[in-house]
Amino acid sequence: MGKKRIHREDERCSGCLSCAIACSVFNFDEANPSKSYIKLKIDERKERFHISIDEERCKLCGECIKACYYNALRWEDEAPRS
Amino acid sequence: MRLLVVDLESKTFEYIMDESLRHSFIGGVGVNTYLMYRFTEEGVTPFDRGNDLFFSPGAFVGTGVPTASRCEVSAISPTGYFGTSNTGGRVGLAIRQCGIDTIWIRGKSESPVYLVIDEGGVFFKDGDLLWGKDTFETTSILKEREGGDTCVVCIGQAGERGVHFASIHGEFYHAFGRTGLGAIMGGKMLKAICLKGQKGIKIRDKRQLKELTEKIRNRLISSDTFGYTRRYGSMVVSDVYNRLGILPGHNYRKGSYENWEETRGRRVFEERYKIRDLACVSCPIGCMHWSKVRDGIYDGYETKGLEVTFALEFGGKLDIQDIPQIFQCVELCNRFGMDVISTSSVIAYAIELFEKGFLKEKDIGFKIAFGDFDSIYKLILMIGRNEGIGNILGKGIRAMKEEFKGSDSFACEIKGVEMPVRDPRGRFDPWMLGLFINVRGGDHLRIRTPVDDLKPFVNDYKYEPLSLKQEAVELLDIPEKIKEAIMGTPPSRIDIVAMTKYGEDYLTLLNACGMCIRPPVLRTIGPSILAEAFNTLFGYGLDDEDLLTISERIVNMAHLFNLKRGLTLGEYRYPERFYSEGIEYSGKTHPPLDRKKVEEMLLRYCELRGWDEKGQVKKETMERLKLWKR
Repeated sequence: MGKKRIHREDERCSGCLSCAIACSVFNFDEANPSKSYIKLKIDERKERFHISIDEERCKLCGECIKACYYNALRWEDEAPRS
Repeated sequence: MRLLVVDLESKTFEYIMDESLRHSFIGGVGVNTYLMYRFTEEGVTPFDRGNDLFFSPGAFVGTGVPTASRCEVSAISPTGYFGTSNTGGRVGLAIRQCGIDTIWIRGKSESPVYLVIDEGGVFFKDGDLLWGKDTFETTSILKEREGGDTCVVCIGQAGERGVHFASIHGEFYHAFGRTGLGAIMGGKMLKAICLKGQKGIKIRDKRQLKELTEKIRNRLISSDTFGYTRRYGSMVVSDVYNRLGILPGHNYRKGSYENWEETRGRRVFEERYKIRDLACVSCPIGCMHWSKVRDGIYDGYETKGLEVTFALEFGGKLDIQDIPQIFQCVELCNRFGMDVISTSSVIAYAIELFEKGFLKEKDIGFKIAFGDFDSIYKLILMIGRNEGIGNILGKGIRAMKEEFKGSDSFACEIKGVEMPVRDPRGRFDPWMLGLFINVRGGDHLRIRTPVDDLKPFVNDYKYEPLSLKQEAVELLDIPEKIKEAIMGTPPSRIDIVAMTKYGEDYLTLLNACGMCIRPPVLRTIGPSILAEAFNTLFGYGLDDEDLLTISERIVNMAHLFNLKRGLTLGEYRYPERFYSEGIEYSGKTHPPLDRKKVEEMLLRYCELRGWDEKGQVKKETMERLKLWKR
């Protein structure tokens, strides 16, 4: 079996940064979206977001998926939620 | 707490550490109010160098507590009274990522300046080339210059020119809208603040925080208001206002429009314009939306919205019947940096002045009318540019009515702040009593209740029926004693005055914590859960009563600040129109307010607050709330 992957859907992202905050709290004991393994590139003018994950360092803890309220993140082998 | 004090005159900065502020004032509006109350010197006027400007995120912002994103800015308003405004988005988080809890701006710069702040300190940069630019241009230029991840907070030309209701903007669309603090920032020649910090907030107990976060999120999601709020945002109430006849149409003369739902209703918004859900930091509700116009002359235009305030102001008050045209009015306000509510209010007042002959075509240069997008759009341009009649409108309704003697009755402002969004005559509930009682003046966002509702009822000036479903009542987080006193046992009705007082303490508490005030929050998150969050994050062991006492302290400090600046109970009233004229809606009429009964409610509010009949804070209240004399 290959390594689990986190599937991202930029179109569903609301820009709330809950994923990045959850990641940093879990992994670094501090709330800090600048330090997290998951990051958002934000185009503020158009309110568009690009989600990226540092796959080398990500521990696949899944905290970001649990924190996402907009179904922009899921395990790749799971069916999309509506 | 770590406060960053920036002196615009000496171009220096320092940090102050004071952990007692968190314990006594929580954060956000609480800390700002204390600092203004404690450090504003006697006799300082709005545009003096001694009118300091404070930015403070709420205490929970940036920690992941659901909906905690809100940041407060405060200073003496151009009205002369306590000015304060609040916004969501990412501004509060960006301030905390600079390793600070408050930015305290002192003095005035001699020439335009902008600040770059990170965890290491402050850089003062020449703002000459930015002066004269609108908020969108300023934000774009600064993001280009300082880096794309920079969070920019800035003013537009309205703030530079001293428009009395100028706003401050963060990230293009998030406005600190009310009470004109953009003009105060402009008076300091401070064009923008660039926030570039990358610091984190240390978490005391991540397991406990996670449990708390899940609990709050589950409560929000279980509210029956959650789904509708995600789907329509604030537009959820658009149709209801029309059906109840409480729109502010034609400067509070038309409570409803026959074609409202087909033109400015929530379905039209959802089906024709809405594209995606957007959220502030840490928010599961996602009440904001990205919209696109798909036909007509604005085909392809995209923006954030539609907020119901925009619909109620430009659509309701000014009767613009086309959502794309409402978008245009809002964008112009955003670019100039002007509060949407006050802008549409001064225009509504001007149009009524024109209809009644106080203003002539030659004074303006063209005819103006409700529903006429072109003339309304031109007036917004003239206000933002301080051109012609725009000069007078930009001073706000209170100053305008001095120029147009005899128009007081329909000059819709309270304590110098233009009245927003709703007519009180159709439904006199805690929200509407709060609209003239709250510290900001004519405003609808500083007194809200956990049971805000929009079912029709006949005003009796005592009670509002409790029409929440049993499950919703069970989810309420209100201290039991207060709940019984306000709603009876079992809960069956709402004592309007008592709920108004509680609603003000409660909203102040939410603001101090940095929480949102959308219905899913109001319905499910109250003092006991906020105390749990406060203790999880800071560990002081405070309970719900402690937090409400702090909140009362904040409300009273702001009130004392205003009393010192000349405010009297005489200004706690609606304009005359609301006591002497009914308002028409759907072929019916809501009668005028009963002046005597409203005045009795005000006196009872004073009693519950621990104030005397002139609104002065009694000695025992000062002592109980530890309100130190200045």
